[in-house]
Amino acid sequence: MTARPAAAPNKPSRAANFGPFLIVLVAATAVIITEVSTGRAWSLLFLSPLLNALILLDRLLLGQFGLAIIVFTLLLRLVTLPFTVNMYQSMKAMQSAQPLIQEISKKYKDPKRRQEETLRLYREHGINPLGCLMPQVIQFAVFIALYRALIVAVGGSPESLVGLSEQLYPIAFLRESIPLEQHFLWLDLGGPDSTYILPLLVGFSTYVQQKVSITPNASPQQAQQQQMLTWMMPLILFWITLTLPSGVGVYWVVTNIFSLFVSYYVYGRSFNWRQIFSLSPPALPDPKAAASAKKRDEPITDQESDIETPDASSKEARPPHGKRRGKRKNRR
Amino acid sequence: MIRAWIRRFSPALLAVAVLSATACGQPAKPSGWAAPRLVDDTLYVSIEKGKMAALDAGDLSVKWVFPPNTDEGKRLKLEGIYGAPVFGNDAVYFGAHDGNVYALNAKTGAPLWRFETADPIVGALTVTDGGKLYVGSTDGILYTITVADCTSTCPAGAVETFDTGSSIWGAPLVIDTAVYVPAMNGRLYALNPDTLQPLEGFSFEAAAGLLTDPVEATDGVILVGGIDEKLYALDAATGDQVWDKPLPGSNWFWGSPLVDRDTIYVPGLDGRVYAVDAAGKAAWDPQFKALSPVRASPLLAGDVLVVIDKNGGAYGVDPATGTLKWGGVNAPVLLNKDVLSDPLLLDGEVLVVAQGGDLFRIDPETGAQRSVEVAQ
Repeated sequence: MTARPAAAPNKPSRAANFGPFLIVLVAATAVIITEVSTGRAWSLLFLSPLLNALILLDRLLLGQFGLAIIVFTLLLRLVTLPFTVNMYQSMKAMQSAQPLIQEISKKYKDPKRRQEETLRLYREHGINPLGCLMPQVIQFAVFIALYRALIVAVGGSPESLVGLSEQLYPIAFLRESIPLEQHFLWLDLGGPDSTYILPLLVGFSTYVQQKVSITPNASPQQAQQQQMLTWMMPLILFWITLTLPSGVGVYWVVTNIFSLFVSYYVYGRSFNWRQIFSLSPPALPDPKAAASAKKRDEPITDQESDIETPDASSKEARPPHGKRRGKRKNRR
Repeated sequence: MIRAWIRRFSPALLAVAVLSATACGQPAKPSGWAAPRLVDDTLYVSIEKGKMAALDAGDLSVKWVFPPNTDEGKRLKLEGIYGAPVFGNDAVYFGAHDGNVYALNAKTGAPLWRFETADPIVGALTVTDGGKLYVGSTDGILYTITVADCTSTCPAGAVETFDTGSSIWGAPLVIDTAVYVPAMNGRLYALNPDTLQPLEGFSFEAAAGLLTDPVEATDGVILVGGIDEKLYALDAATGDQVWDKPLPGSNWFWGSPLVDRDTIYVPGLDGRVYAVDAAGKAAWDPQFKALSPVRASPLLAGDVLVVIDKNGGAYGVDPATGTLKWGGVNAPVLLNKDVLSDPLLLDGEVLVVAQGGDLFRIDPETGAQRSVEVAQ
């Protein structure tokens, strides 16, 4: 499998248009969750459809609710695959553009100007800084809905079965699944895994997935922050899974494994297993190599970024977006 | 800057959001909905999650609580008690969500013996005058325990079993020469009460699991219902349906029907209480509708049928017409607690046990309600 080139320069990817849409979506999701979580809308829009889909899969998979969770997760990840691929492509492009971003940071001391130049660079490289948000939002919404659904479906108490009666569609095919099989492999899907195997799997797979998607950072501070997050997220999820229904942990592990396959597809041969198990932050790509790779991978256009690499001989570096503003800056 | 911040911290944001969301809702742990029982001057009621208490019926002072508040008692975790206690030979018997059957001295609360099943016990037990205890467990097995043979434990010889291959959530019904066992595979089993062999000639299977305790409506007619949203009236000898068609609901039937002479009142998780005659014809038009699901059996208190819904709404209904006497949207009687347990008539008032064990009394004539403090 070969690496796919990053999005063409000067041609912002579709994801670049998602910015306002994502903001609206996040805001709408927040409103829905906070405002109507106690009402029927949450059940009507999220909980009931998801719960009934899970029970339908359970019925189709001969009463194996654990398998139903796995198949549901895979289907969901397939549906959201374009967003996920987009996210990784954006990350990859970000990775290759890091030397140029570093160069901008060095060159422009004015924060506003630096931000403008950085955004322009993002546009040229087809990088969408919010590209990683959509899959995260979807993942979060599904996680919450699945968590609630599992509480109802295999909550492990008769009270939860009363709750299930309020969510289940009046379809005989679905009703015949009740009560759902709570056991899957060594797990009680409605309760936490007391063997710690599942929480460990969740933590480990999250760590690997984080490590794969990590991008090199220009500053040591940023690299340190990112490194901290790479450890923090798996630890938090490990801790959460200790108390959550195991079904949620199964969802998380399958999601992480799926993401790893997508990472491999996007990163191809540059997928570095050694880096995953390395404790040091990822190294910045060689700026020269990054620039040459960019030229090799991407069609050259007359608007191509003209930021010079650090080893460039010219001291009079032109600003990356045009002569006029560059001259103005030089005059200052 | 904001975008970069979001990009950098989106995993952390997700983690925080996940933490917040999971903190908002935890799995509903077993709480129990055992119906209270009055025997002579003692009220047996689960006043706390996983605890059975004997109260003086007059002043509601506590006689004993099991498990007691001792080191040994604290080690027992019954989790939740769902079936009403049953009595025989000066003992009280009940099953718990921890899968155990407990036998206690009815006067002192001292444990007599304990019998363990593989999975939680949700349905009530049934005891016969002959000293046989019938226990249906969610492990799918009906256990018959000869209580006289049990000392601190029950020896193997004291226990007989019948495996339904499914799970049992309702209470076994014993009528003369048969014990009827509802199962979650939709089948109602009729067994010989001594040998636990299936009775020949009896067969019934619903489209989905049976949840209600089977109830004898009239001589030779058994009522049972469950997840397929139908209540069936069955011939006790054959399992054939007696009514032209089963009573259709719009959600599951879980509460036990109340039989009063020729009228049967059936609570439904669709929030309705159905009143039908012995032939299955509707006695009310329209059927009564509460504001939330009704799992608790209705209670007849004089000329008022008291209905308690899941959200703790109480209603006084005319048993003849189904019209509202008190409660409802315009004059709500709210207990502000979830209620899934059957109420009990005590000294002319309706005693309601809410989830968690809080007690309420309701005047059936006016709907006036008050919470009851248990004197420790």
